[in-house]
Amino acid sequence: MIDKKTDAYSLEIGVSDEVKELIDERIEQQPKVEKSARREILRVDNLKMYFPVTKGLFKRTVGYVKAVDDVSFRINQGETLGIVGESGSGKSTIGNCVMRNYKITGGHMMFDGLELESQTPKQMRSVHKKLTMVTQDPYASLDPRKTVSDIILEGPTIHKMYSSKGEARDIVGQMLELVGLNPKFAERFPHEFSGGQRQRISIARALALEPSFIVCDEIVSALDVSIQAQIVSLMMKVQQELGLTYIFIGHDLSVVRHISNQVAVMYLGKIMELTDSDELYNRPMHPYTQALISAAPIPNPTADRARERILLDGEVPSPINPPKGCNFCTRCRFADERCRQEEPEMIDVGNHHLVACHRVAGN
Amino acid sequence: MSEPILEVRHLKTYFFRDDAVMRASDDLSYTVHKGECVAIVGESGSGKSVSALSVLRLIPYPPGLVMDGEILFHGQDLLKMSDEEMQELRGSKISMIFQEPSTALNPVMTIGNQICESLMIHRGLKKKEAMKEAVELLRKVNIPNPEQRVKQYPFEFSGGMQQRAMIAMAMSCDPEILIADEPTTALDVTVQAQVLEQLNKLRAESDTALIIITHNLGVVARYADSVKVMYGGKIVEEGNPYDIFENPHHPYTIGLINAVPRLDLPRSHGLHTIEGEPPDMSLIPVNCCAFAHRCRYATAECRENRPPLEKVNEGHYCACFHMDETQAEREALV
Repeated sequence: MIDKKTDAYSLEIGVSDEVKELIDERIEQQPKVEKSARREILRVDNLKMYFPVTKGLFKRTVGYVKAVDDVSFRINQGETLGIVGESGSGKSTIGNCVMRNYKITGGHMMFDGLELESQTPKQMRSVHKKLTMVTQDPYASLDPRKTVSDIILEGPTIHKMYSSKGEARDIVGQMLELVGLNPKFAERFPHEFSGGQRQRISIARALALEPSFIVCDEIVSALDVSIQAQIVSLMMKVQQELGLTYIFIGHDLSVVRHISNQVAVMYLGKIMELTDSDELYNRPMHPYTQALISAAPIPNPTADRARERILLDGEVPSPINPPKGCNFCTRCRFADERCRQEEPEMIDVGNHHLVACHRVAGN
Repeated sequence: MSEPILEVRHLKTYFFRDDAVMRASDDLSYTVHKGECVAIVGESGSGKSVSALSVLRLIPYPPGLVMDGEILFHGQDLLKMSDEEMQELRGSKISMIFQEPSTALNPVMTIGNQICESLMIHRGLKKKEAMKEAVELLRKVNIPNPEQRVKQYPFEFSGGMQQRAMIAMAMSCDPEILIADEPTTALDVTVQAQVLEQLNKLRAESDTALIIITHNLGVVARYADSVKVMYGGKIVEEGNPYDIFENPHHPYTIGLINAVPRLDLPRSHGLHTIEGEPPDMSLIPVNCCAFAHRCRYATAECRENRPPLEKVNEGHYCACFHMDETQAEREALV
């Protein structure tokens, strides 16, 4: 059925009373906050993640890939930060840093009052109950030898979230229903499902921990157009019902913008522009954002053919050897001497609209 | 419209599995005119690639087999040609660009040698002349320092450059038809725009017909002259992009358009979804509408009869028994 809008997203099967109860219960558990006074849940300051480039027998370090270089952002509870960028821009690395999958090179990350970078691996375990991740490839991320029920229960078992088999079964059933799958699928194996269904299972696995924050790393990139819309709608519905906060990483600006409250545009490890998602389209300031918007085709010939076309020359330079000055200067149509020498600072042009460009700063 | 150069008539390409038959292309007909850009859109498993691979007779047998139909290239049936004749046509009159340039290129041959190959075979050039031509071709597709680049191997090229080298190779013999199977899916957004623009420019310059196979509706809206929407091995709607995007009649086309978030509209413009999953092709009964199980207009008629392509307007056809009922949804489109 195609007439159902996001807010009234209907599941493939109806929502049972049990799930409704679960949802109510969870909503009650969420700290009550006024919409105007949203609480900051994640704060990242000057995050740096450099990967060493090694050479020779003794793995001598000859340089660094600056995958993420001095990135700062904050996210309020119940909101979504979208991160867009091309391959190699460091967008996934940010997600992995927040999850503490890497030992970060520098910076501070505060999650819900906890300093993430100083948590020991043991402490991280309990953090991971609140902070989970859904990854891109639904084929690689599910263990082919486990049943759906085993997959979903992996987290709850570690965190001792149930005390009897019956309770475990309830969790699985509720989670499957929540993501729009038939609870009868619990004893099946991943290979019996299509890509979209597998992605739903991944989401169910993440939700089973009752997290408050999910890092979504390119979760719809491998899916077909109509399935993509289903998963995006599902994520938005679950967010609304459970008050979740997301980092939504992707390369498709239209999809990322649709789900996000604010969008960060990344290029070669740096945020070029960070602003509210409607403002990003209406008033893009950075030349890279403008090119990115222009490159994203719009499925309407009249609207699309009327737009200004900005084509970028060349390709993204190697992150091992980024250009001096502004990272974007090699492809920017406005680049001048200053851009090639000095790195632009992030400035606020008002309305929480942050841009890193000399040209914008000058005007 | 200029003369038709390729006419596909009632093409049936089936794949045989142990227990089932997949009708990947089921009674498919379309025409390509000189210099035209035809887009075939569909989701994975809709048979869009098979419909193009059949034209080049590149369907592996077993398991695939062209069962029936005609593919007329300048009035000559490609399906009746000998393998040698076909070989001569491939790469010279009709050429192809594949989705994944890194797997389509030979990793142990230099880019130059790969481009020379078709020049030497089809145009009978000597190695030296062919190499000169290869440099020119690379220059034409905007590869910097083509003199050095021809001596390099594919791994030394980035994804975008590999795809441009593929385009150079495909255009080397001035083909009349260029088939591009998801040419930019593996590329980054800004590089995607470059490659498509390049492809379109070359097409316009040399008056080559371009058949572009894609799942990206935006690409279709931007470049196509004519659009075929495929679902379950059949064309469900066809017309020019204005017909398809602004006046779609088939419930699937409408659903597909609504499922793509629009960058130019405010976020409050909700995303609609088509429920369910694309069908397993081997499970679609012969006489039924393939979209019936996901369609909200479906009636018993849809499950028992196959809707024929019917004329909506001049050049705009739709295969749906209930296309008049979709009016409200059609008007809700922006």
